[in-house]
Amino acid sequence: MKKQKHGAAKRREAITGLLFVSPWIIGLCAFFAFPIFRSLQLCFVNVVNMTDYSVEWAGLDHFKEIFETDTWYIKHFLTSMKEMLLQIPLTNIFAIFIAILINKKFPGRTVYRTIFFLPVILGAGFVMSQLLGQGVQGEAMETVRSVLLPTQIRIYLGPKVTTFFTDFLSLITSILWKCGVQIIIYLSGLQSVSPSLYEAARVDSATEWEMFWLITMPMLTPIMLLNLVYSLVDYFINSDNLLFKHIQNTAFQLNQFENSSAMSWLFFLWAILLVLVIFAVMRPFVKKVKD
Amino acid sequence: MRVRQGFHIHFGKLSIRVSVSRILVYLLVILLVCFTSLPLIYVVSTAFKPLDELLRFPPIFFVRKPTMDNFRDLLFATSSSSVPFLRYVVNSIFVSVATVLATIIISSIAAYSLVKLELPFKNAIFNLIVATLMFPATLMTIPNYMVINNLGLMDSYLALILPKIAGAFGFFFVKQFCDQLPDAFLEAARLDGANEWQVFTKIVFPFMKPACSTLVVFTFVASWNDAFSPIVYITQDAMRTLPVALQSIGTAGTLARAGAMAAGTFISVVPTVLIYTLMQRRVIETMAYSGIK
Repeated sequence: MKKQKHGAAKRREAITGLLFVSPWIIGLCAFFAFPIFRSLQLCFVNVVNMTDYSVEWAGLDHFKEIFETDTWYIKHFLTSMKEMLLQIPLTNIFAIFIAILINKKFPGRTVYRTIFFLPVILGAGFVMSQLLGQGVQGEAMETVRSVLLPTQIRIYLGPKVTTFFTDFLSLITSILWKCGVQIIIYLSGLQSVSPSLYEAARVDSATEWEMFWLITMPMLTPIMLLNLVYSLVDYFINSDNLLFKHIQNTAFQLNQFENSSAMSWLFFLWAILLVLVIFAVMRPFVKKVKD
Repeated sequence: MRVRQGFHIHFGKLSIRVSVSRILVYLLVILLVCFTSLPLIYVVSTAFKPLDELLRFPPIFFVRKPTMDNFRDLLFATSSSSVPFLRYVVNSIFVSVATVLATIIISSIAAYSLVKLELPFKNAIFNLIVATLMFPATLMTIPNYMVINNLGLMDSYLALILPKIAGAFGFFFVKQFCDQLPDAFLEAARLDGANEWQVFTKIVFPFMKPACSTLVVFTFVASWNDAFSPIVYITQDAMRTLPVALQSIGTAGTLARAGAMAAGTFISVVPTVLIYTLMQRRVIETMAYSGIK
């Protein structure tokens, strides 16, 4: 029920409201809305003079340049797509797994939850690349490897198995460092599954394994869709991405702002396309949760 | 009938049933937790390693003879180039704190007035916000650079603060909480003669505190770790922030500065971990609740 307001009061409310909202709106327009418009414009023009920003129409030239003269764009694009195809399923499988583990009731589970989420906090930017880039991957792995797999056994197994083992360990660490948010989202999904379903299944003498595939997984599908999209977007906006580095280099080292804009828009449109594909593929599997 | 495997542990009168599968799950979780916290432990341990342990091969994980040499090295040896290292830390703290404060105030006020007050163009503004939420930051770096340049903000702290304040992300976070605030509270306050500003500070803001503390964590971390915008917007050495300073230490002297680098990384991790552990409960609850990052 909404109370009807009189003209003067209504106008005063509108003025106060606009006053409250205006700093934010100005900021949004100056640093988000306007830049988006400008970068879209940059894809199709040549900047003649940077200081007073005069432009001339260039049509699709910049897009042509990406495919014809730029040797790195497609290469980096394919590399990051391959990486993405590997990473997204792995992070999601790990996240479901960990979410199910810490959803069980045992002492100290809030502490574990905190630690699993910690990489999200640290993960942004420099520290993350510092940690995963050099020191940790090499040195920490070396130590872990020698603890888990004594030298004698390593010699016996040969170098191939050892490298596989090390790669596997570092993959686990880097995957674990990327699934913090997904774990939390899955966890909230798991907690919303009604316990009466499991009770009913237990009465019908279902095993844990059957309950996982027939109750947990189907109930998680909406959350899974959310998480897949989240992982995809997260991968696309991650600045450690090779392609993004290339795009930024084109802009700030080669000073080709127009080409760089065209590249990022292409990448962005591709991301949207992938999100749509994920929606289309997942739709038949997503069960509507009945209230 | 399934037989549960397990055994009993007796502590005098107390008897605990321990199932094998539960122990396995527990071990697995501990192993995964170890893997996740591995990099962090490594950073802490490396920061206190003396030079011979830093350069040892094969490397050791835990420090044997902890020293504070690295920190001394970081504070004095690296500051030979006219700018003391502490200056970078102060810069980082100033920029991050200013960004956090401005973001909290501006987004919570905006969320309140957009959700609870009757505004003209309300829907248009909402659509604008949703639209900006979808665009990646990389798309906006070049035009942002142009805007900053045209406003004459190059080489100022404002260039590091202003572009981050009015994000759609922060707005959505606070909005979710604002939606839940019952209108009756606001009506009651207004009947008692409170003006809009008092309604906001006395009722709305306290109600949104959990969302705001989550926003504090995310804005602080993003601003603290941002290594990109200082490179683009700042040319003076004295105005650089911590991540940029660390990068230049890292590339300048590789071996001799290994200790300073380790200590610097440690210093750059500490505030984020601290602020997260202080607010972690609220962060995780809000994350799970709002479903967006």
